[in-house]
Amino acid sequence: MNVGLCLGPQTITAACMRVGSPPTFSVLNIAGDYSRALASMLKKLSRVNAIDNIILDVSGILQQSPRLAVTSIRIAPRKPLDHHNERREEYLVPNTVIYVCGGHNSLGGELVQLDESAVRNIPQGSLSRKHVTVSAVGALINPEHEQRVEQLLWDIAGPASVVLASSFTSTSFRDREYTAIVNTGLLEAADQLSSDISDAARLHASEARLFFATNDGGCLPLRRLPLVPVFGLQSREATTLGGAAHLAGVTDGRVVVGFDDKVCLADFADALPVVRERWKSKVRLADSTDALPLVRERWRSFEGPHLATSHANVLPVTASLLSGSPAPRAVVQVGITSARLEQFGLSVTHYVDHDPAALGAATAPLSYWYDQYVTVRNARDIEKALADAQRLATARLVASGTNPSIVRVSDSRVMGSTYGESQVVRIRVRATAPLAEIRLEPQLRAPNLPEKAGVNPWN
Amino acid sequence: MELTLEDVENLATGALFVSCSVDHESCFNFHDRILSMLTSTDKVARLVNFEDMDPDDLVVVIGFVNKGLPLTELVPVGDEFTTGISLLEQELGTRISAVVPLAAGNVNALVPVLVGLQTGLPTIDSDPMGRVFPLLSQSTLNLAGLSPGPFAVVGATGDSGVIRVTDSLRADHIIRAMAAEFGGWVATVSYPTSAARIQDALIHGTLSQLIRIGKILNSQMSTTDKYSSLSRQFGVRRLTRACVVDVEGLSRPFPRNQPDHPTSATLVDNVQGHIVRLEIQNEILLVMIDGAVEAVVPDIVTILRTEDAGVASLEDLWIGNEVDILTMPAAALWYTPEGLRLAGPDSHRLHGARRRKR
Repeated sequence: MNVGLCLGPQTITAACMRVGSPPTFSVLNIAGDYSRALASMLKKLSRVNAIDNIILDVSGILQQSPRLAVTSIRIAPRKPLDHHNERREEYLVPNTVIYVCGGHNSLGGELVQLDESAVRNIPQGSLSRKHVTVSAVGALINPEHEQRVEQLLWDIAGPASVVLASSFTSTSFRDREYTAIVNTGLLEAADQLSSDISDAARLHASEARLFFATNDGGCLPLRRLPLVPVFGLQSREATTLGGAAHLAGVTDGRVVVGFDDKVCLADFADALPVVRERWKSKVRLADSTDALPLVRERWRSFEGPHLATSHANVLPVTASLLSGSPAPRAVVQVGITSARLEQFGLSVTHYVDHDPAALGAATAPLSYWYDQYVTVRNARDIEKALADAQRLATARLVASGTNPSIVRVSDSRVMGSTYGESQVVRIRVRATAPLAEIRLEPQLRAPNLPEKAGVNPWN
Repeated sequence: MELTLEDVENLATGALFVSCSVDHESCFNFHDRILSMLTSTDKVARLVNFEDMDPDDLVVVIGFVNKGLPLTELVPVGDEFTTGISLLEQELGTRISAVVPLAAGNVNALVPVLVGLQTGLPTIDSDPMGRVFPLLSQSTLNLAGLSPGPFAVVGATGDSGVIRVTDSLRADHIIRAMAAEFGGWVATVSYPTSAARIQDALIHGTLSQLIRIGKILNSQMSTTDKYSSLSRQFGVRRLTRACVVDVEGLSRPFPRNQPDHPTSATLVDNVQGHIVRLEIQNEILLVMIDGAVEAVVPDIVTILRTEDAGVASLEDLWIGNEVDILTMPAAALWYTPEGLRLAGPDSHRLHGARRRKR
């Protein structure tokens, strides 16, 4: 049995998926200790059937640490001329910016030498036991300067954590740094959360494998949550639409979901929500019930930074969006009131009492992205790079216990970069495997490899 | 004319509309820098016409030329164009009186406004492309036989220089090579020419046109009304709404000395069942629907998000995403035999591609 758990501040919703049976839902109100409530839910569910896989949507409770401050080291050839040319986004996570000279070009060559003395001269108070992010120009192609600064920091300063921005893929320096800062702000909560979840599962579902739902409609092993929590920060939209699509039996086409207060939609291809590359985020602060924008703008700015994570393209429904587009394959009403759907002239095809997010988590496939820039000389190099990426993506899922026969490469693209170097292309491959079909033999279980932050969520 | 905050916002939106392919962040970044200066200093951004200039005034063309890391990765620090202007003034021994954008599109449409705020120089409401072409040489200044040099270049590391060159194609090759060596781009200050001489070689009113386009897109009108207004005022046509089904890199041979590989995107209009093909190399060059050419360079092709008629970018061309594809005629000069020879389909190796007669 696969169990999807949707964790919220007040409730835990569960959806159980058994082969050949319709899904069942349970809701538990949390009174008191969170980990006890989770253990209680798992105890109740495990009485019905043995649990094979538990997939958790943690976005409802994943919060920035309220008193956390981040020191951001920016490695670039030069620092901004004045405050007009300085980036002015004000993150809710307070951050101090320190400039260090360095950076690489798009072919991986050193643009300017790394000024290691600037790192050594940073006052110890700015770094010791502090959370630090390191972002370097050109680090997607060559992260050497980020890595050297990281090593220096560990050698001389003893920071609490160091996150390299090149762990996140985007051609925007700003977005990578921002994602690293947001990820840093979530580390403490994610660490506690995964520990609580593991403890609860050990008591009542010790044979179950644990995953967390990701922003793109897939899932990752729970052991990755303390390292890359930002990948699960906004999974709720994807799990909600994914659950609705599963209930309606839609694998391709558009699904609309109506709640009492909002109507949203997503397009699906091969049972996966269509994704976009970057995502403008909202996060919750601890002790706050409202979603607050992560960026506070002093004046009207076009756009703040984006999180460099793939995310399901879930959109609020507008008349413009519906006109000229194919009719939705399913219109799912959650709860009783369908007035909002009727405003758009949509007729309900399916009703559901429960928020379908837990079901979306239960059906989320194990997912791996290979997303890197590579240097190529000709078409043969590109083909080889694509093939290597597909092999690596498949191997990652197999190493996690997936039968190779059910791994599917759902996306495999190569793209040039506008006005970029013709020798540099972006390779983006996605491999997925449905957890519902995974029946693990003990010898296929993944070994407990040591964890470290890497270029992608699985490294 | 003094540009207001609203004008700057509309200019940025219009600039993205006519050139959606480059990452929008650099445009937003320059927009924010301009707003920072407008709101916290007493400086004004002036948009002028040639009637406001003395015939002997020295005018220069300014803008970024890219090859390598984008402006979003290797972010300008803010002194690149002021340094370039000083270098060229020293070289020529003459003060520069006004600046013209290298292209009325994307970030280069905003560059002169920011430089104007930094230096006090007015921006002339004209440009040598009326859109964005990939090459420096694909400009009306080249058609008019003007010399691009001497020009000043400044890179992200602060490296700078003055190049004496007279041929615009040669200038493009040199600048592009320097852009790669400098890390990804160079800030260029080129075509130092008297107002009287350069006036006849430019397309006029292009920045104010972008402001008017942006005003429509930023308005509270419905998407349908926005499209109607764009059609009425600027001849914009919505070709189709379609969903991306494939994106293919290195999809066809490409001219040498141009940055980037060509990419092709295939889309499907799920209502009408049409197959749509976009040919992209730095800009969107060609749109075919069911095999017939509906728009081809020098036509301007752009894509809008279906949810809010906001300008989309090539990053939105992911499998399954739906976009509106629109086209708009370029300046009339580009449809003359000379214009087509310099910047038409054949110059982009789209040999024989001609728009279907309507």
